[in-house]
Amino acid sequence: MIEAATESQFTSTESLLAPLIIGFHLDMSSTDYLDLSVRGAISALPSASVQINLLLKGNRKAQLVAHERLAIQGTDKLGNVIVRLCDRRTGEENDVAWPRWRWQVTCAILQSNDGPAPIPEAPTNILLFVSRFQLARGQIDSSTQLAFFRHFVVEGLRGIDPELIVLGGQHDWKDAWWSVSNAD
Amino acid sequence: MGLTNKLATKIRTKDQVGAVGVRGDWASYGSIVAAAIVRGAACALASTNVSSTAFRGNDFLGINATKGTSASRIWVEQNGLDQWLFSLGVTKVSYGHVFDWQLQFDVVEGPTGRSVKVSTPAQSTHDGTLMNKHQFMETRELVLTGLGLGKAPNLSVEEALTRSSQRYVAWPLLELLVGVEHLDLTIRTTLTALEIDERLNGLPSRVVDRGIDLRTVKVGAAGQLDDQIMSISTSDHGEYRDVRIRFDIELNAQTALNIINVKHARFLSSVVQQFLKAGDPTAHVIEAGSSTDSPND
Repeated sequence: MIEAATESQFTSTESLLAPLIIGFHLDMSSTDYLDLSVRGAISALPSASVQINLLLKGNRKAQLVAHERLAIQGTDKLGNVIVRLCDRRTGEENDVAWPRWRWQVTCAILQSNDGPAPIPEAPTNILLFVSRFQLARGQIDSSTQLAFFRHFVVEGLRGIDPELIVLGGQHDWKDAWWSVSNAD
Repeated sequence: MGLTNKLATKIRTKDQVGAVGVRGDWASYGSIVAAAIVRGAACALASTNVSSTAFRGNDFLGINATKGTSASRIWVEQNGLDQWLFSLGVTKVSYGHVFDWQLQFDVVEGPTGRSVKVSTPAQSTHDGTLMNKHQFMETRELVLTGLGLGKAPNLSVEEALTRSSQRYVAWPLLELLVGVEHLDLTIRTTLTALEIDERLNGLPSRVVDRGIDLRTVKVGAAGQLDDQIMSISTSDHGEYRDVRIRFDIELNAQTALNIINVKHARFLSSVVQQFLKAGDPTAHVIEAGSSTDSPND
């Protein structure tokens, strides 16, 4: 069954929404390398300055309000690390901005009672999946930051474990995506 | 007419239960296939020109509804490993959402196997008719059929959407900086050179070169990007060691990517400090450049 799963689901795809199955060769019990890599990815992720047309309390007309679109780390009900890209207004705490998400990535370490490990040769199997996302006008909202975040988590883990095995969706990087000049 | 429409909507949005043909362990396999099916339906819907309106209320001539029409937005939320909430609508100026409809899929384990319950937590109607009703039906059927078959969909739609998302540089992102970022930090510690070396093995960054007293690690993204190197050198002073972190980078509008590298370098230097302090609580940052005999000079 797992072989079938590996063939059908975790083969290489360019999809940015497809999950990543990561085989990590070190023991996570002493040091939370996943948390470290996630924090590294958040630190490297560029935040965006966006203006959103909003009708604020006490105003009769909508006006452009500056937001910083940035990644914020949290924990889900199952104790997994989650990271959301949120719109935060000037002076706001992260908690207030938390519901204004653009995407969310969940990083779960698969446990032995979750079934056979998809990558049995690695002692730690990590499932990194996009648990919330928005689509509009045929595009993934804030896809660049999502691509970069996925890439950096994998890079951070690979820095610790050079033998890291990564299956599934897009996690590599291509310079062409970043060409400032090709924006239409 | 309105009454007939209302009845049709009521029937259309009634809760349903479907079979789940996905076999195997749910956490490590089934939920991943189910998520792929939901994503596939979302991507298929997103690739159509569906539109929604934020207008609600009495609109006899339909003028207001037309004025407020814009491209629909799709929200997909996975809660835990067995629930997916799928919403179609538009955002409104109060930073809220106006949903045409929501579809919730709950996979439950029963005595006879897995099944999926489909419910409609939110819906909007116009003259009793569900907004974007065809999309509602199609999405529900796609997910139900997919889960029933138990096979992950072809990922080509997802990949096409990914390519489309990357066609434009979604780049209100950069605060373009100009100048030179110079990071030079020295940490004094009583840890031995060997202990320092061991601790730095946990640094989440690729090692480019590793010597006894000088280690260089890669900063920034992999692949085709220019490599940026951060050096971490250790100098022995008998009773204590100085660990010096250095990173230099030139920033200009054409090397916007380097901003990311700078952010990453700052993070890595903070991790080095954290690692050293974990082994030696007295480890502390001394004035940059105060280490006089750094081998990196």
